[in-house]
Amino acid sequence: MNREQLVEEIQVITQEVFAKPELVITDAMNAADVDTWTSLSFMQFLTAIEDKYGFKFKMMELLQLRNMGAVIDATLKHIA
Amino acid sequence: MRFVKEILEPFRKAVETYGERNAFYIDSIYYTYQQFAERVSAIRGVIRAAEKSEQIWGLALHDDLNTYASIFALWMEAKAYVPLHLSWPEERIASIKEQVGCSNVLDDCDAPFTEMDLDNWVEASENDLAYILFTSGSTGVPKGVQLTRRNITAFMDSFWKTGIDITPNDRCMQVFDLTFDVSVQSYLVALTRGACVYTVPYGQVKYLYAASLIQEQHITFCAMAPSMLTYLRPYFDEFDASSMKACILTAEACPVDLMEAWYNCAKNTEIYDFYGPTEATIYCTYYKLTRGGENLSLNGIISIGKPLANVQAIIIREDGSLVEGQEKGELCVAGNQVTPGYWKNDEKNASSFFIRNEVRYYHTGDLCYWHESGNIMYSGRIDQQAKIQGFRVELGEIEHHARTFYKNERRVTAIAFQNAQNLTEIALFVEAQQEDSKELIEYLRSKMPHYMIPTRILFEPIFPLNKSEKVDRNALKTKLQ
Repeated sequence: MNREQLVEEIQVITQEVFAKPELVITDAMNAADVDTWTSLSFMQFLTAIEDKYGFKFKMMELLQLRNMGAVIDATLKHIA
Repeated sequence: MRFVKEILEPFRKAVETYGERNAFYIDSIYYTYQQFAERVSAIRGVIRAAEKSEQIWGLALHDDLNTYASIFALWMEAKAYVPLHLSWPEERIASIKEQVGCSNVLDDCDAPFTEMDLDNWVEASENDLAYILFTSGSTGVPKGVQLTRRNITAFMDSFWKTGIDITPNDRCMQVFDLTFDVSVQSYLVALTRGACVYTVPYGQVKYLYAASLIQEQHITFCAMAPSMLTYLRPYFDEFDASSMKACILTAEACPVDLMEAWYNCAKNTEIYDFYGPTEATIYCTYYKLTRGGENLSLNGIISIGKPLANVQAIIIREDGSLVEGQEKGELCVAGNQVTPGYWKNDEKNASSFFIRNEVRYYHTGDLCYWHESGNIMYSGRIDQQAKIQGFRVELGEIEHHARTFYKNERRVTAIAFQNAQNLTEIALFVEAQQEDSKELIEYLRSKMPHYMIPTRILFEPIFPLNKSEKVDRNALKTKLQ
């Protein structure tokens, strides 16, 4: 899967978990941009990604997930 | 004990002694005590030059040096602050400003620095206010808890008497919104001892940013809500918190199994469970956990321990008499940490405070009992109040706004519940056929902070009733499983 395809899939997960059906994600997007992006919903978001792609984020990866682009890149590394 | 002696003088001494050492680490930038003091000095000039000399100032919250400097500047000018969170709905901010009657707001005050001005503090009484914190109110209007200089002074004295020591070499983490009173403890204990405050910027996922600070900046002291650790628990085996010498868990009930797991990461840490309502200034009881030993708990929740040095605690029955033995009752607290009352709210003040044997007590609303060891065991709330990520939420306020949305034509019930990760969420039940809840959620977002917005909206054609013909909350709660 290339990055573009992954972005499309993660966008669907984002819209569902953050309850924003029309949200268009960008690499720079972070918790300051989405009012429903909370600790709880972000944890649910990561769990949804882990379940869909069958891997677990490592602690050190988690600490770097400061925006959507970082989540996409970290996911890509696991499924590449 | 005086505010000047406990707060302002130690801070000035820290600036004089450790001017070139770091006072803050904010968004990856260090600021020295000298730089911080310059901002305090500059902002004092702005306060003095204000056209209207009001006692209470609004403080627009940013995660920046000027916001923290504004607090000290206001205190040196004998003023108080009321924090205004920029992510709150405008209506809520307007309501608070109107209630307090403040027209002056410090908002990222970047007035130029001209000369150092940490002396000549404006004289103030210990009864003067230091800050007002607005919390959820069941009538739909936020209520302001007034905290005086005496309250803060008594709290700081109590805090140091717990034996927790902070030195100029400490790296102290401040994870809380400044609308939440544990933030006051988090910055004050550091800045009165010459230590450095590491903040979590707004707009970040707190538990992740806090974890990165702990690991990468080698935090030595912090106060956190247990829910932050719950988020991190799946990663505990990879998490190194060995730099931490003391950790306070507060703002929520503290699960004993979480603490035992946390000990494995925080290998050199003394862990404390601190409890307290805002009305009694940050904390009023504490329990120091024992590594590898027996820790007092009830239903998996750690004891809230014994009263702090400046707090008197009693547990009473509904009729006001003292409980006996291990009988449960309402925890009530008294002493110099207890607020003079809610801002201009006689009705609430009359119901929340009472005099017993010439001592004024506050009703905490918490159901507790005395353990034979003299520790207090927490058993739950008496009323409909919940804690979400440490924030106090009156379920009645959510119901009020939801009912208003439905023009009082539908019954609604807000229920707090534990999710699969043992984190507290809020569900809102609406007595109606299934429909789209988008407009309802948007309306609630326009009225309340994000942490009060229900994460689940459920429609029930007919609400179940209990024997008293009231909505059966327990029956509704089973639908959440």
